[in-house]
Amino acid sequence: MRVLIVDDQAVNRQQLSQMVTEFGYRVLTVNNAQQAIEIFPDFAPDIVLLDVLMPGKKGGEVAPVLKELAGQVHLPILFITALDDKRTLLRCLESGGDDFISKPFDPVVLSAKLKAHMRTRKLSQSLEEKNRSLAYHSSRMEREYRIVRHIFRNALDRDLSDYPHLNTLFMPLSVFNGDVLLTARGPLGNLYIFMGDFTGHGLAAAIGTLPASQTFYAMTAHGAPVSEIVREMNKRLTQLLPEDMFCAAILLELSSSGERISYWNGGMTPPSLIAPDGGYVMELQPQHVALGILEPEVFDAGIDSLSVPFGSRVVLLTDGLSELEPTEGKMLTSQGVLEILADHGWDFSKASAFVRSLVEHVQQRDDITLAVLECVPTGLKQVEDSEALSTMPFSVSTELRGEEVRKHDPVARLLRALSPIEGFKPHSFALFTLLSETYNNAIDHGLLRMDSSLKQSFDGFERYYHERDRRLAELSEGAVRIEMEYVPAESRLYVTVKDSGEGFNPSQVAQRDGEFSFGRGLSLVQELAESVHWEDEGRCIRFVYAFNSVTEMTH
Amino acid sequence: MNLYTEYSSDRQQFIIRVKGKFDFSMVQEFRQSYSELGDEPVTVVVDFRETEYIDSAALGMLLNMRKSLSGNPRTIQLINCRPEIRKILDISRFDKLFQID
Repeated sequence: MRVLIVDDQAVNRQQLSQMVTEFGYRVLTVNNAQQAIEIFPDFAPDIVLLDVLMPGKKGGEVAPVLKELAGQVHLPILFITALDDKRTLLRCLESGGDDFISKPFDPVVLSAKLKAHMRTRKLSQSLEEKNRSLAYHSSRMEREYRIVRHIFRNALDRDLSDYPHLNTLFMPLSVFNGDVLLTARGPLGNLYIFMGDFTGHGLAAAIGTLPASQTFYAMTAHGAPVSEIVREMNKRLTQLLPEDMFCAAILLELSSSGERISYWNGGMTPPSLIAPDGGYVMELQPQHVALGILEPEVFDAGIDSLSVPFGSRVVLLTDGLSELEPTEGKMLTSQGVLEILADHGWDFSKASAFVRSLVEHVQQRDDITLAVLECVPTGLKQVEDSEALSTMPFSVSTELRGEEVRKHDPVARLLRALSPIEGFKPHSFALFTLLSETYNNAIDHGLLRMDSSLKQSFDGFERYYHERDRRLAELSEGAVRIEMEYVPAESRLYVTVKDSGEGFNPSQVAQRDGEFSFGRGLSLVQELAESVHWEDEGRCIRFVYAFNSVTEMTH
Repeated sequence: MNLYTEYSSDRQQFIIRVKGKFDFSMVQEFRQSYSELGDEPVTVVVDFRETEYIDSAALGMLLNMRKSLSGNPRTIQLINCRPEIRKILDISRFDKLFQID
């Protein structure tokens, strides 16, 4: 402990210095205010004994300066005075002094006073240290919060926030939300909505939304069915979450047509289905326990699905809203939420403004999420970029003989070769059907001499394929040839499929066969191809596929 | 395996999904998938979401299913049909025989 003594009288300095040194403190003495200020930073005293009356700056003037130099930590200043002038004493104390010692100095009193003020000083010091460390931790935490918030935003905000037929209201209790609402579109234009409510709230609850969202986005991008997505989410959450944490959730899919909803509900407040006219239809009841509880082997991914008329609505909400108590002891309930929506004419922004105003007056105890989905055609089907057709002409052919026919699947093989060609991808479906029909016709009727009428009888369909397998297994001679020529100048693909069979009359086949026949296949070929014709008594079929059939038709 | 089946949680619907190619190579598997249904009065749903290609053999399989389940008046729904699949179904006028979404 260091004590600074400021006094212009040598006698005082000497007496005090001696006493204070004897108490075991380090002492520095100076004889005026200016010196005191100068040495202050170096000596860094814990207590100052300051003379009231000195030449130059008086004690009362210098006290605030020294206090300032001491910074945040309390610096006790004890005035040295011979005065028993109460007014001066009072002024000294007002100017920042903490106490005074009067002459003649009494060592017992001085020691006691120094000890008492040292205690205050130490208290202040430790407080200051705590403040500093608190400030450090709080700024560190703020930094971490910022980073985590950034990660959450990036992880969760990939959704279709501008999708016009879904309105949402989020009111998290803190920065981080234990409620999660994710939306995504599938490749077919299906809309997926995941609403989850993790146990608790704040960061601890929000952390689970990360793995859940990653799984959701990865699987919806492939158009996976609801059951597979929840199965995978449950697997990940069961693996990751501590035992006392789980996620009540609903995953809902609206078909691209807007006419069908499929859902899996695990312990979530049941969403309500509302008719186009606003009438109540039903609740989408939870059929399962929440995600993150059951091991994959016992997890039940069973979904429910139903057809919904155009303009129906699904109202999804978390229990933070249904269990809100606008009046003490009386919960809002899902019914109450529907009434709010109806009262505001299903104008979502008005209804959510009303919900916000409700929350202003009562204690919000949990994260709140509300979403209203309108069941209309989603319009989310991604229009594939129509890549310009390749301008490189090519021709390709393959001929399979005897057992090669058994071993190979030339349709799949050719299609794999064609699909990557610029502009071919959107046509690969039609090309598959065309090639599959004509090639299988050549095999079935040309090489294997199958009789389509077999398919007519009750179990004939399977018998037909049994018989086909049997004959194929015995096939040892005969050949099928596929030739393709691509003419970019015409945007056409010319295809020929020939077989070495005995030939047949295709027009008779088409007429003779009923429901199960190549007749059906032939009509597909006729619809999908620009032109089809037979040659060589049915041993050869030629068709032309026009890549831009619309423009070609004007020729 | 390219064929998946599941019941809806209320067991009112039986869902069949075919992944990839839906052609004659699926004949056996497809037949087996619904053979266990017996007399259960469920709606059968064929989900085409992951079906890449179909040909007339697939159409035959669907008709065959309809025929073999017809002892029981029930609906067969064909769902998540991409425009290409829809076109094939339309050419064969399947909209008269099935519920297509």
